[in-house]
Amino acid sequence: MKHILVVLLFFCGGPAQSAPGPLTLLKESFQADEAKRISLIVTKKEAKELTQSARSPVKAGVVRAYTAKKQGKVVGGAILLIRRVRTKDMATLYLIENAGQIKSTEVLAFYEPPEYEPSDRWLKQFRGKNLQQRLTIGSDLTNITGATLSAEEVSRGARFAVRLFKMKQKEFR
Amino acid sequence: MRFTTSQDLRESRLLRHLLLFFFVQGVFFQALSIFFENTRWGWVPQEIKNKILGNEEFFLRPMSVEDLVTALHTEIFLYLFLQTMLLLVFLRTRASDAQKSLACVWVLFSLFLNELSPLLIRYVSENFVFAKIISFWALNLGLIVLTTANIAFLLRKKNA
Repeated sequence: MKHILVVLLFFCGGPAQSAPGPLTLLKESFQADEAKRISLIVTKKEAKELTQSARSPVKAGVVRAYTAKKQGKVVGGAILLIRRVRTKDMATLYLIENAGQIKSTEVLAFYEPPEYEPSDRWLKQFRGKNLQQRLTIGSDLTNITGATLSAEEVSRGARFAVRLFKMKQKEFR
Repeated sequence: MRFTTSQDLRESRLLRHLLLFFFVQGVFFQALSIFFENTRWGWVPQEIKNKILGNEEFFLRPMSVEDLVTALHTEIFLYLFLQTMLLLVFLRTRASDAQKSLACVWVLFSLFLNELSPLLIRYVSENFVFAKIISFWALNLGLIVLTTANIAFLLRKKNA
């Protein structure tokens, strides 16, 4: 009976969440006293514009974002992107300062095999990057050997996130 | 499909062996399908709901219509092929007409419900998740019974 239960638990395990929630991360990162979720609407026209400038396909729709406030003032925001790596999804949170610089990049969920997950050390290279940088693997970002697809997806997301943040900065207030 | 017109399937040794190999591989296919079900849809209600409807807590997106249709399209073809072969042979066995009718209804209905329920979960109600689980196991149970009966029939001597 014990063995059957162990086997059942093995097969019935739910998806694993690898990091704390976006609101907690936002508060900790910006030392904010308030963080809330907002929805950004990307119109077809904006999607076309973003596709060109971010050099990655963008679809019109709703994007999940977060805003952080300290003493009533907006200190930064975050954009959550859920993108497919190969056959499974990855959720990445891009924390962006008011000036448009990436403060940090966090992988919140990764459903591909764990060996393809970008390491914290690799993710640190996004810190301080903004619209001025190309944010492309091989130019200002290093690749991850054996996990090129994950690296490409995170960098594509970063290019999109910084541009979307600038485009919708008013909505973060 | 010549075997569908012959009176006794055991008359031809080649045909008998061909069908036996087919059914043995069918068992293998089913065993893999049961494990594949876990990765494709999940075995427990919450997993199936997460896969089809998504879950914000775990950053899971709902399955796209394209993915849903692709998954169902492949599944229908494979199961329908195996099921038709099994039923065609089963109808030639010595089972009673009532058993044959029950087998046909059981397998056809469970396959239909198994393929329809992901769409019902997505577009009607998440409670159809139970229909998905029940129909999947009912279908596989039916196919296992049919396979066993067919293999036993093919192994038995003609006059036995």
